[in-house]
Amino acid sequence: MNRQDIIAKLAEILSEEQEDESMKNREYTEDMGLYTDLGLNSIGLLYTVISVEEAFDIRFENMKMTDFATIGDVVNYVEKALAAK
Amino acid sequence: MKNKKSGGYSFLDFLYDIIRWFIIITGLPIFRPKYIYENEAAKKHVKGGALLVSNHVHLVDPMYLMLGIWYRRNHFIIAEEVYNKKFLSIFLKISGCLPVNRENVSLDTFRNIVDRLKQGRMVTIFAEGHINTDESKIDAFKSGMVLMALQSGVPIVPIYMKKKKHFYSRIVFVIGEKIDIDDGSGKRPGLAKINKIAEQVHERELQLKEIGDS
Repeated sequence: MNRQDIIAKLAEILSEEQEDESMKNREYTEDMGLYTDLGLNSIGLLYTVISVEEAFDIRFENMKMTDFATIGDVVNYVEKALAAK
Repeated sequence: MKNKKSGGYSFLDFLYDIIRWFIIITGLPIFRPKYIYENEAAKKHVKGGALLVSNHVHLVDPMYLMLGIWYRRNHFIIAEEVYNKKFLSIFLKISGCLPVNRENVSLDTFRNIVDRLKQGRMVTIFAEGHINTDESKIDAFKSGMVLMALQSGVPIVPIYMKKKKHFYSRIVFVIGEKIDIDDGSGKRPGLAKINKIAEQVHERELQLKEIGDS
């Protein structure tokens, strides 16, 4: 799975979580802030991480919610985790 | 999702039981818990994993809840800064308390709590996230507790504790009927729904407060 595929799958997950319909079809880019642009709080991010783990069949280890600031940070982590599988 | 039947009886459980029974034997005659039940169903003791959701009015609420729910071992989710206090730390570790960083939730902490619940244990969370000494209100509940219950497949048991007037006053608990939040669809609800459930649990807590105050 390449980086673009990861972003596409992550975009699906994030779209499902958005409460606002107008946010569902937006374009997701790597520099987008999880807290700042998507308005996630720590529980929202926790929820996202769980969804990502299930979708990619990976496990996030030793991380805190503030470790991820942007979509790119999550993609980096997923990419490494998939490579290590 | 079915609960695992048991997490096993560890040496820490043994030490916790010694402390727990000491508190129960000495504390019950002093604090004489009084129970008010929301309805008949609430009288039934919850077996297996359960997430007890309570308001937080005193610093020593975990001890009061230990007395109130004396018939079960209960693990408390407490703030990391309290958990790491020098003299309390050993006692809290033995008691199987689960420290949580309120500003920056760790995924490992979350998993640890979910594992305890899946093992069929009772875990208590003070869902306001802080001690609230204002008797007139119960602050909004954090939605993380809903995610914990969903991931572990356990019910939420709401409980309201009245603020004690004096040290020697009786502790009054209003116990609600358990809330099964798993709709059986096998699909985790979205964030909006989770926030909604947290609001509903808060509503239930307010109803328990009304019962307790009347």
